[in-house]
Amino acid sequence: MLTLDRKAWVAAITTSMVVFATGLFVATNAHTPQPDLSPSRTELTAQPRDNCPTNDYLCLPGTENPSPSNPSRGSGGGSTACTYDTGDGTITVADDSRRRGIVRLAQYGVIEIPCYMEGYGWYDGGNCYVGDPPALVQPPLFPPEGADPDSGAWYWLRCFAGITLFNGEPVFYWYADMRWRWIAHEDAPSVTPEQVARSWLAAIRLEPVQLQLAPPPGSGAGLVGLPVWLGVDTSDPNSWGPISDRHCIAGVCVSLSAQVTEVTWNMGDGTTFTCARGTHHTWQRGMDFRSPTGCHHFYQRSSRHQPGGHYTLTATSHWEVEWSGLSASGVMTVERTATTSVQIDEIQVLTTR
Amino acid sequence: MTTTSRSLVRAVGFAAMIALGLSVTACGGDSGDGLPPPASPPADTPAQTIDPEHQQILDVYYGSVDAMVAAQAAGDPDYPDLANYFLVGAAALMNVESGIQHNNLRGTYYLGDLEVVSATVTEVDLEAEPPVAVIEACLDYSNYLLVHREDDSRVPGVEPPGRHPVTNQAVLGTDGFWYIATSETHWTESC
Repeated sequence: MLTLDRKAWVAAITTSMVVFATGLFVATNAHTPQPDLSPSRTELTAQPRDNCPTNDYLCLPGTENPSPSNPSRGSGGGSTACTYDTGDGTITVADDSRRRGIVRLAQYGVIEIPCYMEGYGWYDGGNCYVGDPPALVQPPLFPPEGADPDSGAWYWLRCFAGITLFNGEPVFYWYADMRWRWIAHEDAPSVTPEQVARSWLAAIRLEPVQLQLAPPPGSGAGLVGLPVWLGVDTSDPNSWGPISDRHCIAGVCVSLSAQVTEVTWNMGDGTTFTCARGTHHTWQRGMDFRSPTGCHHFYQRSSRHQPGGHYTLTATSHWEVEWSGLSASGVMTVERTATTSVQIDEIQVLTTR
Repeated sequence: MTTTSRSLVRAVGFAAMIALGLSVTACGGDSGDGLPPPASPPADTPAQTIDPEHQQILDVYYGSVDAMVAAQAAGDPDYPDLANYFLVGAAALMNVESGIQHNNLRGTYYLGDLEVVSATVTEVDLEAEPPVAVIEACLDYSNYLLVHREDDSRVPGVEPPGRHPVTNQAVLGTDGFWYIATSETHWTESC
């Protein structure tokens, strides 16, 4: 039990076996307690056990491949996912993507886990998440011995004992553990608006443009000297935008808007050009096919000598994601590429006198 | 020592089992407080009076088992009754949620009877932060099976694990109610 003098428990936990979802997933944890050498961080446990290694750095969104030897805090611009190296075998990681059953992976390697989970907190780089305590639990009234009450705050640790991957998505299993960690304000986990924006971008589904060419691929050949109308479906927000949204992490919210601003076309005949948003008109019946009103291309040669007898065409859509929040703003760019093929024939004209 | 036997309804998620358990005292376990284990009462001894607070904690524990069983049967990690007995944001409920989530992903759930063999409150520490009570339990997992939800056919390779002791912690919330916060099943031990 927690003592009144707030002395942190440091007691070895004997080997315990934790069996997960099907009984095939077994994690053995016999952890040796590690002293917390950080003066700004003190942990209390409500049980005489120490399932979680003490960590001396925090992993935040934007932190790529955090290393315990290289304390770092996210500053934006990086991955929104944190990584967990299963190589030391401390935490059992299993793969349940196959229907035949769970496969325990002793040496799985590096996997991605969320840097932040609502209700759980921030990944601390070890096997714990650091966050607010449960709503019905009051933090300890006093700071650890020697700490200024105004210098930090108590955080609740949630430490995972195992991970089951299902199609790459982690499902966590948690230690039967209650523990506080004192963290100085300057080391407190936080998130920047850009990191919130990047988190949104990582979660949103942005797709390649849906091509609406004329003549449509597969339904007939185009002709040398006649245009290919480079239309796209502008009605689908996920492939064209605009998308407007608001996204919050840990109370930090940003407003976002995303849309395709231009498309770069590689026509497969050595020609590459860019058409702006608003120029990708789809040919409709009644229009003069020979007079395209928007983005188009004239092939100069037939595709007869191309591999497969057709030109391979790619359309790379350039998304701009504007975000703003907490007096900050920025733009992120994303590209998506659609590919198709077009057949171009040549009309042989025989002129007789 | 209080010995309580209670047969629970069907469908219990294995992972959720991790989060729940009852007394170790019936299993010959160590109470962990350095005191000798209490002597077993004679078979014909009338029911003992239980400390009201202990009874309240046990009631919460039983309620949590019922809620978990119902949530697992429904395949609903957000099953409303869970929050009445589990401490939201603590390991026990997180594991219940993970277990249900995992079973849902696999299209499986647990079907059968779970017998709670015994449950005892072995320790109450109101000075801890948060105030905490320890519940030692023995659960009989023998009669439940992991099955496919589509046809209740058994998932092969998963054997009923028998009776095992489970150590739980309940936390006194700021609202004055006890909630199950942690649970650890000792799978290598029998009771």
